[in-house]
Formats: sequence, C-alpha cells, structure tokens
Amino acid sequence: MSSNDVYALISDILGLAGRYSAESFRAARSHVEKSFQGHDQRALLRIIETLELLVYERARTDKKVGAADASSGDFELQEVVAILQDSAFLPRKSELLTFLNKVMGKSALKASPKDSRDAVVRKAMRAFLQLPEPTRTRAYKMLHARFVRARGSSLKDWSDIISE
Amino acid sequence: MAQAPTKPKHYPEVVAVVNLKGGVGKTTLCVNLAYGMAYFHGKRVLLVDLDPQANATQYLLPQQTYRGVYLIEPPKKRSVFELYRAFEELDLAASTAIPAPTDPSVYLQRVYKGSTGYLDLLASKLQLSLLAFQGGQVQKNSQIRWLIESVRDRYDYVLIDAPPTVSRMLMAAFEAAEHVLIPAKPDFLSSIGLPLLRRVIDKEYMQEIARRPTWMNPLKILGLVFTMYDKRLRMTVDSEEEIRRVAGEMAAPVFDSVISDSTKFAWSSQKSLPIFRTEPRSRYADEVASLVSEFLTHFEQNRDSDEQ
Repeated sequence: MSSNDVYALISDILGLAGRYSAESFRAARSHVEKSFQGHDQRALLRIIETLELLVYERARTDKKVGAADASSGDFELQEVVAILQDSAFLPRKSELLTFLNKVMGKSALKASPKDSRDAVVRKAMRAFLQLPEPTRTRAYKMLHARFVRARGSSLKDWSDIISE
Repeated sequence: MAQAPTKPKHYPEVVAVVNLKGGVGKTTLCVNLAYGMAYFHGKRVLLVDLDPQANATQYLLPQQTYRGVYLIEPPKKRSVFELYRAFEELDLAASTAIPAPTDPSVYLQRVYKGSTGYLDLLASKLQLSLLAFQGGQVQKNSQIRWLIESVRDRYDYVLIDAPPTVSRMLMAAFEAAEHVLIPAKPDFLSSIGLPLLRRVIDKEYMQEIARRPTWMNPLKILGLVFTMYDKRLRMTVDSEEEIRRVAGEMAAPVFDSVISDSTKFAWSSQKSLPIFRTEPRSRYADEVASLVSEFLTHFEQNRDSDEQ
C-alpha cells in the first residue's frame, strides 16, 4: 500500500472515533491485520487500540454515566482497565503474566515474558476488548474476584500499623 | 481604596464533609463521592483525611500499600501529621516569611488513575489527635489551605473528611473550604447535631478563628445528604421529617440522592475499594453514582449561572 493509502486508513480510523462502536473497531483491526505487515501493522494496531480506549472513555464521561446507566459491557471494561492499571495488583510481572494467560487465554493475550509490565497490561486490555461476549464476562469475573481477594484487610494488621 | 486580592485561578471546589455527631457514615460518603467523581466522570480529585481516626485512609489504601509507602525508612510519602509538624518546625525557626515546608507532592498519594481523572489522598495518622493538645496554636489553621493552594492546578475538587469534634483539624478544614456537606443519619441525635454545627460555623469559627483571605467566598452549607438510610424503619421516616425541617431553617438544601444502610459498605471498606468497584451491580453502587451526578450538577449549574 502507498503512503496515501495508509493516510486514508488513518483518516478512516479517526472517523470511527467519532462514532464509537466496538464492532467497527474490530473490523478496522481485522482489516489492518490482513492488509499490513511488520512495523506498519504494529503501528496501525497501536493507533486503533489507543483510540478505542480513549474514545470509549470519552463517550462514557460525555454521557456522564454512572453505575446506574452504564451497560454491563461498559462497567466491565472500565473495571478491567482500572484493575490492570493498578500497579499494586500482582506487582511481579511473571505472576501477572501467568494469571492473565489463564484469564484471557495465551493465544488471545499474545504476550511474552520479555514484554515490559506496561506492554503486558496494554496487550491484556486489547485482548479483553477482542474477546467474544461470554468469554469476556467470564474473564471479567475471574479478574475482579482475584483483585478483590488480594485487597483484604485484617483488623489486627491495622491495629499494628496504627500503633507503629 | 486598596484592591482585594483576587481569587487564584483554578482554586478547586473545596468541600468539607462534616457532622459533629460521629457514626453517621461520613467517611463512607466522603470516600465513595470522591472516588466516584474520578471514576465515573474523569474528575481530578483530592481527598484530605483530617480525621485522626484515619478511616478514610484505611478505606482507600490496602495495608501493604500503607506499609510500603508510609512506614518504610525514609517514607515515600508523608501524612497530614507530618505536614502539621513541618509547619511547626518552621514556626520554631522563627522564620519571618514562611516558605513552603517542602514539595507538596510528598504529601499526596495516588489512589486511582483513569485515562483523564484521578484520586489522590492526603493520608491521616492517629498521632494527629495529639496535636489537639498543643497550646498556642489556636490561630494556626492554614496548613491544609497552603497545600491546596500549592497544588491547585492539579485538582478540580477537594473533599475534606473532617473530624466530628470541634478541634484544630475541623477549623483547618473550614479555613480551606468554601462549602460544607453534611452527612445525616436519620435519627434523633443527628437532628440535634445540625443546629450545633451551624452555631460552630457562625460563632466559634467565623467570629473567633477564621483568618480567610479576602478572595475566598464565605463558608456556605452546600447541602445535606441522608446516609445509613433505611426507609423501612419508622424512626427513619420521623427523623427525616424533623431533619428536613431543621435543614430548611438553616437554609441547607437536602440532596435527592440518599446512601442506604448496608453491611456491603463495611465489606467494601475492608477491601479498600468504593462500593461501585466491589459491588458494581448493586443498588448501593447506583445510589453512589446518582449522588455523584447530583453533586457535580450542583457545581456545574452554579458555574453556568456565574458565567451568565
């Protein structure tokens, strides 16, 4: 493809950003994966992925939705993003990678031990967005349960902390 | 005629959350409201825990995080107690022009970060209660306002979880705030506490303690939120009516949104998370989301009318 084709595609992607729908982003990703290779493909996929998260967030805050009127897909995605961006959750990268492979599936996550923590988190968000609906809900439930379990406080610990 | 100093641009909306009766769900309201503004609406929020019981701190920070941030040597971050100590050391050094104690960022711990919004915490410590016994400090309550002014560009809203006692910390909360939000549990003793709060603001604070800069608006009651609400109880119905009457006399609007009584809030505090992250499908999450929207709408409407 020529540079002009690439620019036209970026323009289409930006157009998508104006009318957010998960399906159109999926179609754009699939088109890029078929039509581009190597560095161009990686760069374009990165653009789509970043835009999708940004546009999702903008659409959500513009609507000023809360838990009351957010669709279940909305709050699941928001919660997954919040969990993955919390560096206190599974702070060791290897532990995080093992857990995410289990939740999303190794083939969907496409992350390797050589990736940085940020790269693993980015790939996990992308994988989550691409999961089909029932798998996505199951992944959300596993992730959320593990996250909440890891945050338990004990009365004795707090009393030790307070008296230190 | 000398011109009054102008309000610094971007001084955030600073709200002291106060009730002089304890056990009314003040911290639960404060934490969920502050977190909700950042999480649902992408606002930049600071929560100041000025209560020596440090419940807001315990609600927001997992124990491991607290240990790894505040209890290591040297600590990565400092609490409001150290902020007060820093000011006192400067006083002892008899400095004429008091400089900033140190970089304000050392007092601010990030709790949540979204793509645009975030929530930071100025943590509390039990030792804060000891400061109340020190004499000669009655007029020195500008520590929190100093911190907020120092970081004013970073925040849209600041919520202060104030102690339920007439104390230096409560006065420091009033000195920094332009609004007071009152959580009220619908029971008899809460209704007694309301006129007492009005009196403390008008008399003890405004007449004897206040050293507000001229650019600050007078301290105003933003409204009252019913907390620990259980409409099945007769006591709730009776007390709600009485509290609404007292609030009317105080010209304090009552929010439509309420926060119900539930053990699920205790569960969420044990997980150091707001209710809409532990129980996102619950009606309690919906209640918080609705309160957050009503709270923000109030400020947005006021801003619109100021601009017109």
